[in-house]
Amino acid sequence: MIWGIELTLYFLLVLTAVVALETRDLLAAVVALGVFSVFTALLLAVMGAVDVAFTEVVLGAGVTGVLLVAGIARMDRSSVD
Amino acid sequence: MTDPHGSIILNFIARILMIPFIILYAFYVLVHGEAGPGGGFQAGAVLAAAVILSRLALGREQRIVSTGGLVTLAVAGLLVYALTGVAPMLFGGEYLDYSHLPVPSTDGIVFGQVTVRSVGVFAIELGVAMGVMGVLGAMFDYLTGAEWGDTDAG
Repeated sequence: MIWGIELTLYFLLVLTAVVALETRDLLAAVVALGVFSVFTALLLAVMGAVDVAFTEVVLGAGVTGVLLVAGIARMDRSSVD
Repeated sequence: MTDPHGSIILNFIARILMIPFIILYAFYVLVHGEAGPGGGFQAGAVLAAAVILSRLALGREQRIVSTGGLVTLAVAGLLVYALTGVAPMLFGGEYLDYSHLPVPSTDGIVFGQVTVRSVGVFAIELGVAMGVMGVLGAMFDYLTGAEWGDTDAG
């Protein structure tokens, strides 16, 4: 059954990547990028690379999201119309 | 972004529940990194998450480490790494050659077997954790303008 989990994770990975690229709201794009990082970490954990998955979920979903939101808060516009 | 919200529930959960647990977990990851998943970089990233959470939830006045403290931590971490690397060279080894570290024997003092190599690895991991924590926290501070003097940014 592990291939079913991996296939679902790959599908969700591509879906969140497309959402992060195509959405016009920058804050929503950052959130989608965080979800993308979580699915990447789950895939890495399924593959057995727990160390890399740990780093990915802490940095990709945690610190990078906060830094990007802080960067957006410094900008004049929060989204591009 | 780093202004305090003043909510007592947010303050309680951040200060009493989350930040101590995150710091404790980071030290577990740091110490247990040789046997399980984790290590210096991951522990530093988790510690940076605790630092950033204290800034986001408690505000700039009640944060747990100041910006200058974070920069000092980063530099001290680099210094720990460099000194652990150079110290074996002064005692007849090569760079980062743990077996030549001048560590006294701990037989009978500490429970279990503490080898010279594990002391060297732990010093390296501690240096990496301090450096990563300092740099990530200082990145957040510089990005939110804590060092630029403008309080309305973020």
